[in-house]
Amino acid sequence: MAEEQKIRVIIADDHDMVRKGLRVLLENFDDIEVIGEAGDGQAAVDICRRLSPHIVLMDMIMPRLGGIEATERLRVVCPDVHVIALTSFENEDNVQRALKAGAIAYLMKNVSGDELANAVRRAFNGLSTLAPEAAQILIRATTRPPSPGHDLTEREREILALMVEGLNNREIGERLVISSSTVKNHVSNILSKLGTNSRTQAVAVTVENNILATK
Amino acid sequence: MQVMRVLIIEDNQGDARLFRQWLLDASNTIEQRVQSEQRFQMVVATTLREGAALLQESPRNFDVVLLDLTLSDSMGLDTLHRISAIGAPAAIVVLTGFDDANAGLTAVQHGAQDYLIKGDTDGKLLVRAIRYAIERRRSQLMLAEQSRELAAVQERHRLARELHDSVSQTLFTCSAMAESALRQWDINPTKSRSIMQDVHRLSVTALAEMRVLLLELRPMALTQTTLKQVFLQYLTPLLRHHPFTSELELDEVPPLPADVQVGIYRIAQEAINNIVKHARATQVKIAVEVRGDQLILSIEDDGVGFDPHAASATSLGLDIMEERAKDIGAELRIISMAGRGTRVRVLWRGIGALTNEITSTIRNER
Repeated sequence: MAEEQKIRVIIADDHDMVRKGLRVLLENFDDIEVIGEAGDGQAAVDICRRLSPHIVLMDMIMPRLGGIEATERLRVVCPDVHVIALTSFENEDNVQRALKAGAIAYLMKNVSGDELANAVRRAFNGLSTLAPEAAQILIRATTRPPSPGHDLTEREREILALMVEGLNNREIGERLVISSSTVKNHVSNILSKLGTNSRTQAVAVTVENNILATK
Repeated sequence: MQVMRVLIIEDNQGDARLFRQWLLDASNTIEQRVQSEQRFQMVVATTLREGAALLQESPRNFDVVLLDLTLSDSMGLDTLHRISAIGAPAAIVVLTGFDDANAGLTAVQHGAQDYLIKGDTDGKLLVRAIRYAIERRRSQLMLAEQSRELAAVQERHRLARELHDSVSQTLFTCSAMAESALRQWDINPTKSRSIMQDVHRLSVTALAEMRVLLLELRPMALTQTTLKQVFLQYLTPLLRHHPFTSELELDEVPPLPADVQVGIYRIAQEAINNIVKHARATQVKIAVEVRGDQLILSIEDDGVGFDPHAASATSLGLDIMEERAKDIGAELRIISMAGRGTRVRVLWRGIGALTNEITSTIRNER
């Protein structure tokens, strides 16, 4: 294959050894060339502006600027660059946020050389690739009942946040300038929406499912 | 009907009898009105020793302790501390003399749920104080349980994050390298061989990281040995396989309070993580020294450094280090400049107090 037809790739990951491993892995494929590396999201954006690669392999969790934010920024400053999210996290939030930010593919860090090379080629042609784990997550997200806490009102979320802080009904009432019997009503609605029967459980469920962070 | 079980610790028999009578009256009147919700059961102890023994034997048998602060075998706040040290779920209402109402307030600040002034109390007030004290104690225990559960959840999250950040990255790289070595096996044996050296190095790193995480799963392992041992356990496998040369100077340190030991270990961990991940250093120096009253941890590298004003602190765990240092009352100084390496220094004062404690224990044992 002629030199100018190679697919030019940049690797963005904050672990030096991971970048080296990916580079060595991609060296096995003649049609793909790694033209640069970045140790964080900001460096990835900078290097893309300089080298205009075809593809960025983007880790999601990086210092300075995370992978999701970097993907969003690239969509503005280098709209022709395709981002492949490559991560060891497989929770729903990450998959959806990465795709919303503009990633064309979502791969897990258990991908084989052939799979990675194919995803790079497909992305070069504007086609998506999803790791089976990510596909599973998206299917589950569309078919299963919504996560606990999805139906909480704004007020209830506000009160739940204060419960997590450890405030009792009276203190919550004072904070929000409402009567403690109103607070009590809200709290019992919150408990039933979360399917719990004590404050302690509700707080644990909230933290475990990261309920207050989503939305 | 709700039965409230009261332990009265009171050496003045007249007072004890009066309290009993008030509570009995309260039980009766309430029962006569049939809308009864509560009845009191009472046990009287006349010394702290006797009361403490009863509570210790069956801490769940009492809902509230009525505690006279002035007893034949104990006086003042000490009386309260010895009862609350038992850790029973019972609420504590202290009884003070007419002339030292301040003692009551102080007792509440030290963990009692309420206080009553003898000679300025009647049956109604006593019953109400007991009911409120029990409620207050209940929500206090619930809050404590809540924060324990929260801490456990956060701890699990932290471990999961660390697993993702260390072992799983290393193993992924290891498998990518191994795959490449296999692909190059016949085409380019020399290259294949050199990649295999990386595979070997990475698998050793993964093992070392695994060991550190196992240490995290048994936090006791961090505090049951000396600081020097903890550092050696952590550093030996880690440093052997990194491309920088390292120099260790670890003094023996007298046994530290558990939180100080863990805090210093965590700060070191965070600093060394930064070096391994970001510094591209060729030389690293790690030292733990005891100088008089001071314990000094210093970690220096000659790597790329960073601009402390530009780097967002969260990304390098600097805020975590700050927080850890603050928690144990240590001073943390991080000196770095782009291109000039990084120096982390932690200074903890308190070695003197430790040795004093040790000598005083030895004296006591004699």
